[in-house]
Amino acid sequence: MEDLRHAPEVDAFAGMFHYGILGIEKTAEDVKIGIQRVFDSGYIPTAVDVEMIHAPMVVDMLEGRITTHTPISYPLGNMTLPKKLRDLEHLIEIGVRDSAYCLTYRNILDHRFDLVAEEVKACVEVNQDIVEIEFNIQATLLSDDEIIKACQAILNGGGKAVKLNTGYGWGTGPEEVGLVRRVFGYQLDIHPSGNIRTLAQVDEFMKYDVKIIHSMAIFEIVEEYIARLATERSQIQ
Amino acid sequence: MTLKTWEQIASLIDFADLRVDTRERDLRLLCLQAEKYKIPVILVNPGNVKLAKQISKGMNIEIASAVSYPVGAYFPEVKAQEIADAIADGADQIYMIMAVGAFIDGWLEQQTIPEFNYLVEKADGRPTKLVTEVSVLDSDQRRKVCDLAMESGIDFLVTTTDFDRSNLPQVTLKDIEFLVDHVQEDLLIIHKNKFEESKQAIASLDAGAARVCTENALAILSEFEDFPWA
Repeated sequence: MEDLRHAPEVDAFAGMFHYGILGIEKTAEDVKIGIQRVFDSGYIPTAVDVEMIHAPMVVDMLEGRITTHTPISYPLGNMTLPKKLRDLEHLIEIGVRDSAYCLTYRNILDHRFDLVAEEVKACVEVNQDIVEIEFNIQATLLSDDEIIKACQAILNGGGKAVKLNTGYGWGTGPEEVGLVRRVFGYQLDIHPSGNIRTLAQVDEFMKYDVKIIHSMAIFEIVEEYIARLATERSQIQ
Repeated sequence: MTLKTWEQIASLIDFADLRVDTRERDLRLLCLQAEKYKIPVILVNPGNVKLAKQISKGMNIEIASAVSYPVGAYFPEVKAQEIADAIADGADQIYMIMAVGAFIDGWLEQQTIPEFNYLVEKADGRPTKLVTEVSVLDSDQRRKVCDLAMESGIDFLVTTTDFDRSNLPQVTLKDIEFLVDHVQEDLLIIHKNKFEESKQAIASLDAGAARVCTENALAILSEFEDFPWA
């Protein structure tokens, strides 16, 4: 039977993912094991997501072969704006080139979309296009109207991408992705995240042409993808 | 410990609102309830300290900031600056989440000891409350965290972030007793939990915790017959 582990479409599929190794209890050893797993797989995900404390080590380990992603004010978004901007400056210094910036959700929930746009603008100004930044909202906790207005504020502030949930139990549904795609077209990159564990979930997001997905279950999902590809090919033969 | 009245237990509560979706109206309600029901401390996210301080002006409550909540995985200098920010915004007390993973890795010199020392130094005499995750530490690690906290001069050790989405095991009464047995009265223990009933909070205090921290203060207090809802 043909080994599909590194068929071009499998490598491309695996390349859509952010592989998350985040959490309160995560040790450097956990992170090293996770990265070794990536290396052993031979896949090149979009990024490996780690906490700030692990970022310098991971930048060194990945040697530019894979991007290091570190979130800002994760997952609650409720740190102060000065702290968030300092963290961004710090990440730039460390060599992190991809981040999810968790917006101050109180501003969204209190419908202060002017403040949301100001926060995005402040972040964009500090960033100077050095780091790829996705602006994180907790879409699960918002009405459709609030999601649309938050995304508009991201655009107004100069943002280019929205991450729809942080994970930690808050997960994106295809309906949220579809809403943002319908309203904003391709003005905003859409990054689903949170509780994405299966190929079936990924299939739903891909209907809306998303190109980046955050998941801690990348290897399991890629295995499912390979199994399906093998089945499809055997049926053709 | 014999707790007979709602006022006695109210005085031992740190009333938390660390939710992702806390709005201005929630902060107003938190302050009003704390004032009305004689809860001396409220705990909020750093981004909400300044507003809570404004709202609570003239009230008899202290504002605590949850620095680096909930993950705590930041460099010591980053935490030091965040504490300074919180105090500039009006924080009266500092909760700081320690970098638990780094401690387990043995990063004592570059992370744990400096961040503990910064907590005391930057708090500048304000109450210091170090948050750990007891349930992921073994007995030796628990003792070591306590010893380092005491050496740094930290006032309180908080058992857990109680961040319900991290799926960590619950802290038990035996865990509290273990900590209290080790630290005696040199480091005071705060047990953080959602406490659905007053008897759970009282059991924690009976196990030796000096205080409890919870989002559900009113659920606890309202079980007392003489609790004045109106």
